[in-house]
Amino acid sequence: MRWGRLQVPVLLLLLSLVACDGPACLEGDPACLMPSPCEVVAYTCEGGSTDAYWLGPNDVPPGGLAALGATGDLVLANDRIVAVIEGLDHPHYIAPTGGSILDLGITGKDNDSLRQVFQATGLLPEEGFHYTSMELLEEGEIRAVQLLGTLDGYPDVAVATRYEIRPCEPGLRVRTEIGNGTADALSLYLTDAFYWGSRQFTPFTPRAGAGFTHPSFGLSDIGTAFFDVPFMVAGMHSDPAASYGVVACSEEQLTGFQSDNVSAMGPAPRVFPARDWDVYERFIFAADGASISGAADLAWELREQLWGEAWTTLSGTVVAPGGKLGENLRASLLVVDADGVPVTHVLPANDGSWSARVPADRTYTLHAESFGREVATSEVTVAGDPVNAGTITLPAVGEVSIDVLIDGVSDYAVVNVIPADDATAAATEGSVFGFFEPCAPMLGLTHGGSPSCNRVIVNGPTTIALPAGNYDFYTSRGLFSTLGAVQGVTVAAVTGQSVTLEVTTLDVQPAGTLTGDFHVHGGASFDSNMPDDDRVKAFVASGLEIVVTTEHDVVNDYAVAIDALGVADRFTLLTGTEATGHLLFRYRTDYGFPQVVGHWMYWPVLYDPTAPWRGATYDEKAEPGLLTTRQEDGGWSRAEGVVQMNHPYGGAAFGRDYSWATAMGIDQTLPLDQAGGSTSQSLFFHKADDARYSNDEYDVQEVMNGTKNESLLQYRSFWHYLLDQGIVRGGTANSDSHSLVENVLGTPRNVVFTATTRADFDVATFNADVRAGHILGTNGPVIVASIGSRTPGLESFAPVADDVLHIEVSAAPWVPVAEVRVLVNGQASTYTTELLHPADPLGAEGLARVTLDIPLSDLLPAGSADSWIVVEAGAALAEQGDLDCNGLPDTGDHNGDGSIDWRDVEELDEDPGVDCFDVVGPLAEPAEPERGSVEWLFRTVTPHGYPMSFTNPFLLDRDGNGAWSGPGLP
Amino acid sequence: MVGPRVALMFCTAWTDGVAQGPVEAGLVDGDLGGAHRVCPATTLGLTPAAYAIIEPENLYGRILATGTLTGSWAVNDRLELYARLEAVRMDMLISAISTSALGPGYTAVGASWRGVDGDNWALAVQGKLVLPTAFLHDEHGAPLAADAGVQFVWAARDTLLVHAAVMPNVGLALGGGPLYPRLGVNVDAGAEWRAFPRFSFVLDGISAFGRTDTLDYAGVGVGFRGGIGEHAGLALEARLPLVGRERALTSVDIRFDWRF
Repeated sequence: MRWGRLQVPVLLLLLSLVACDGPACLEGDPACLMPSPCEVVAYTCEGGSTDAYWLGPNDVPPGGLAALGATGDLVLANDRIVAVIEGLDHPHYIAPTGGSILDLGITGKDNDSLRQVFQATGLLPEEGFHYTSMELLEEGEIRAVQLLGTLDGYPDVAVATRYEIRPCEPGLRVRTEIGNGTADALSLYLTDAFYWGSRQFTPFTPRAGAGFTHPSFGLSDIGTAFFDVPFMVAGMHSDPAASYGVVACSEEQLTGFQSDNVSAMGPAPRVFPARDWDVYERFIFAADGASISGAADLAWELREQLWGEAWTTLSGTVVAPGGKLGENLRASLLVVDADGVPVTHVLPANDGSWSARVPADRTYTLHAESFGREVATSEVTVAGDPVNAGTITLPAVGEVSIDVLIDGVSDYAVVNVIPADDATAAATEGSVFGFFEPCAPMLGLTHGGSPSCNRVIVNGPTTIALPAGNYDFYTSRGLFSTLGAVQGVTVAAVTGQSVTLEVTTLDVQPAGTLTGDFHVHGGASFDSNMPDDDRVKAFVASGLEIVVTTEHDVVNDYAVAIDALGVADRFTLLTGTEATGHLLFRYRTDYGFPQVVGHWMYWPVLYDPTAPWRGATYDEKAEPGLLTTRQEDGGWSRAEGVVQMNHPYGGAAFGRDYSWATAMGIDQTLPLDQAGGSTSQSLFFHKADDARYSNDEYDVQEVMNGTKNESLLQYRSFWHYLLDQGIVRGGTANSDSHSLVENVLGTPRNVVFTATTRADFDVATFNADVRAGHILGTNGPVIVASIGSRTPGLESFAPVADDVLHIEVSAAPWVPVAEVRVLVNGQASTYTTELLHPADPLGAEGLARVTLDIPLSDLLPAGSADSWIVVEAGAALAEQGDLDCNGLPDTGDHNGDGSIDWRDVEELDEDPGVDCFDVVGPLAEPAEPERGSVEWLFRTVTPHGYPMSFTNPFLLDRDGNGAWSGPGLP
Repeated sequence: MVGPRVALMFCTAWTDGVAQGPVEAGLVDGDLGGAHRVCPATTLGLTPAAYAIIEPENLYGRILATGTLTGSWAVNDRLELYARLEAVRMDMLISAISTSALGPGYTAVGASWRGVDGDNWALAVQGKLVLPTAFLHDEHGAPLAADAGVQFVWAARDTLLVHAAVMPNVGLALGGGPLYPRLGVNVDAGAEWRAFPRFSFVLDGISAFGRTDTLDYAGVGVGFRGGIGEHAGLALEARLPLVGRERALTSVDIRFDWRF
């Protein structure tokens, strides 16, 4: 064949390669202009409009439970939705720079519920989009913002994103371009990451067997969680709510994974050779209300425009004798086609009516759910025209009006509704769409506002609907009151009755103290869905005097809710923030992977309603000492504020450690290296570059965190490990409450011995006493301990020869106190189990349990070495073993054979044949109490917990040299 | 000066299936920048090859496996035309989200012309074009690349050849996206020793500059080459980058050739 014959086809081939429609903004040209995405999509309406503007300090950002729009952010709005694109210099959560969709709500509704949508190409920190320029574009009625940058860890991988809004449209058109300018092939998963944050969103995908049900996965098996779906939608639970979704324009199917933490949706992952490029276009939209169907309706409409998939409208009515839909009775419908594909999920309106778009020409089964249980099904076939599916009748329910009298006056209280017998428990246990933990009964969404799970906030007679059955009702005013109880109430269908719980406050709290919870979350936190007003009601119901609000990465002062409820005089609120690492970075030289540094608390931090992070400080990629430096630079006072290490040991979410001691990987059998390097034993004292403080310069640590006490023994172990080495930090006890369910506010709490009072509150004095460890941590028992005139705290003193440790233990009658322990240099001894026990746990008598005077000479070891003493009271602690030999208790005697060995390790099926295991746990917890016992009553308001309290240490300068030093590791 | 159209002694001495020339286990797609033998031969062959990057500390690994069909035509005793077709290319990336791709790979067509020679030396002009035929790998970009350079060979003895090559190369990506132009040069030198009648050993110093970094890589290439009968050859070859930007541990191939 002659070249002349080949010329034409070869030239045509080359021409086509050069001329095909490619990316516009991958070559570093700041004047480039990306084309408008999703050109097939079209919406029309009367009077449509668009608007775009940069938020200034005098602008009111769009509102909502998750709203974080701040000065320097960009607003894109039209007649239907309003979106906030965060400014480049104040990124949130997992995004390395600004440029994410931070807020998205319905115009005029102030219902932003979205945490963040950002772009990435994978799970690793270097695979996030690092935008370096952000430009507002105005093209006729179109408003758009164009962002240019690179991957965070690959400066040769250019990226560009365009968010565009047009009149009449329910969402943003989004186009992303990416080009691999590196020399190597990369693994490309070009995705939008919808950061839900956990405990709030329930992503829904129309895939056979899916809907709300998604496989659990970890970082090591995430490949098994990828599925192709036509769209993803998700609904927030708490009003004012919005639902969200994404439909691809450039792909017929989206690929990704779903969890209540993150949903990732994009084109299928692929090999991304050097010098290849890609473009991804999609439509990200919002609908009003919590119902998944709001967003799913839009998704099916978009699918028709993009891919010609016909839909029709399915409607009907749900009725429930005895219940008022939408007010006190939750009902929903899951619509599943004949292939097992859930296509939508509907929350009926208050009048029981509902409608939803579904694909045409299919047969559907309607699964009606009420109180978290499927209660009815119905089948319907649709063609192309709208179909009314008729009426679905739910089982009749009863109503109960609940009132709580605190010292004779109706007041805020959290009432726990508990099945009075096993049959009622079995008949009423339900869960939210299969998500989250089950509750019996399921009165409302697990992590939403009241009613939630089996808990309801009342303030005066409050009516709730209940499935028929027998119930007990319990409440208390925090820890220092009687237990209000009404037991054995039979609720019949279509009947109403009233219960009144009476609670009396008790003289248990020591004089000269204030109670405080220094770890509290609400809806402003990325992992809470608790509306501000219910959160504030819970503040009052807890009986706490000091509440330190500590939202993850942001600040919230609840001022609007406090003012609206008129409860400003009921407690003192201090604003703080929980610095929560999201961006992985490498700081530990003896560990192969990037990490975060756990969670750290700072207070007080002033709330600023228009500032980024609402007044908090950027807290990513910083060791603890650098975090403290940044907080100080942001206005927090080192002299008058408090730094708290939260839950020292714990797990991780998507590779992000919750806990600093876990992240450091400390071996507690070895001393810390005070040289301050970057290894497990030396990071504790390390001072990072640019930091004014080293990592150990914090004030207090949580010894108790959470109502369950599930990791108490590990937190306590770390505290003692530090004390043994002379590293003295105060111990605190906090609830870490995120909702009515995820930890009971104020349980546990701190009893702070302080000279300041609520009437004349001085935050500096209070914080100084916190820093000094003038704290009793408790979830019920109260210990007043002294040695001579000295009380627990971080000031050492020299004891005299005949000094006596004086201990008084008291508690509300419903708090069982089984023993008192005295720990000397970390060596625990059960000092006494001979305590008084109140005759009537539901009464008001029998507060004092024991008074002890113990000569120090009976406690202290021989010699004159400095020592420390901590007193504890509560339930007997379960025995634990240390099977991985790191000095930390990790495994209990689960099989009850009297020894703790490999047979007690949940993940081991055979003896690993080594002295120190790689896999351990779980810790043992006290046995489940018998119904009706005082231990069981304790758990009615302290779910899954057991009584525990501890004093801060007495530091005994026995050698009298004026300086206290630790006794050393055992 | 252009030599007479007579075969050099070392070319006529190596006329069986034992491979000749520098190591060809490529670190770059299509062996861009790699020198070719200077003695023309008409062959058909099959070359399974693998390329590996293993970096657990970066949560990155890449295993690239190819099955390449090769063919060459000795137009005359100075000129050889050749082609390499990656019939199968499997690219596996191990990362937090692992991916893989399977499909045809790149195609290279090239020529080597021994233009100048003496009794025991030769200077050849060589070049090739690497075509963007990895359609299922490069979804949008279409990398096109070429090299052209010279190779000098000196026969210290009939069984000991010393070679050196300088191969400038250029590449760009068609397909409507960024062109990502690349310009570099490979400088390789080494020796091949036919220690036995049916076996030779080759050791090269390899280096590349400018294509992806100032120093793309510097390292060694090794090859063990055998002959089976008069026509068949089997070679195991590897390139090992030791310094530079290149992240691969090695590139290895096994060449089966039939020489006509």
